[in-house]
Amino acid sequence: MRRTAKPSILIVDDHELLAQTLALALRGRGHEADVVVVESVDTIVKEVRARKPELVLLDLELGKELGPSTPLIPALRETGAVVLVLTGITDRTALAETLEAGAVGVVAKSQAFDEVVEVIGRVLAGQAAMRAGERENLLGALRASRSADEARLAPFRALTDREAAVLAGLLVGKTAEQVAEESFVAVTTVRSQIRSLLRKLGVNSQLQAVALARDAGWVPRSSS
Amino acid sequence: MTTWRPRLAIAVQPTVLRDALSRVLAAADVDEVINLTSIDAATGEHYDVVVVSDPVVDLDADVVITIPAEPGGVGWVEVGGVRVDMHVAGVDVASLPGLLRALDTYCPAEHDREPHA
Repeated sequence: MRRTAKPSILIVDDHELLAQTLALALRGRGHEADVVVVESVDTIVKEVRARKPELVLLDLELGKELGPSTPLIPALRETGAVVLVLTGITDRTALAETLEAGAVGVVAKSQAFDEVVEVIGRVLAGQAAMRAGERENLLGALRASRSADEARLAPFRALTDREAAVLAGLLVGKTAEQVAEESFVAVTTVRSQIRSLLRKLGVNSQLQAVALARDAGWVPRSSS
Repeated sequence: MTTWRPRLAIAVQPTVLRDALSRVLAAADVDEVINLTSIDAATGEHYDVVVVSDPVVDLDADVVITIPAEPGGVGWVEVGGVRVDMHVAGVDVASLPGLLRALDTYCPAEHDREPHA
């Protein structure tokens, strides 16, 4: 397939058929569009930097090896390109994170080709990719989600390093005796730490503490 | 003299791919391309070839090309209900050139399907 030397649009998507087809269909609508081979973060940024497109059409999930593309957005923006996310993902928090990272907008792969072309046209003309209300709604959902996370994790911040380590042990099924042995401390010390962490978390049993930690998505400091 | 144009239906997801693929194949000007927005629209219709992204049982077609639903997945071709051994056929329908090759191989028309912008 013909390679465009100086594309106005570069498509970064691990769905090879979708990227190639979209590029060709966009050329049919008068856009110089081409695809980036999705191998590594470095090669993507290098290619975008070398080919200097006006717009990068970026898939949000770049496969098992590369994962979400959100961390890539600032580096792509530094090349001078604007980044428009094209995705099948509907998680509003994940979508909002791309806006926060610098994407100008988000379009769904479930939208018709004509609608996607219209958004691309607006972006290339320097207009907004999304309605202001739509963008604010997404960013509001992200703020709400972060506040909820913050509230859920607040009690765990009161734990000392030792209490957190003990809770981490309980989370993987260790007994107080095992935690004591591995930490070279008396079991009575560990039991005292357990009583303290139960009080701080506002629960009455180790089982409840473990359940609370799991529900809150608490991650022990050493493995975070 | 009228040139025979295979009836080619596109029933893939996501929508943006279905639309774009329909346009690209229509621009190749070889087939009568039908962009299938719903399986209901195919009821009672016969197609020479259909391109799908998920196995569909209710489509009446001589050739069914299933593209990978997910990146890195495997696609395949069925001719008369029998799956072709893709290794023997040497066709990979996960890319646009591979898909066009599969169409030319299993549903040949007057001309090969050259991609046109």
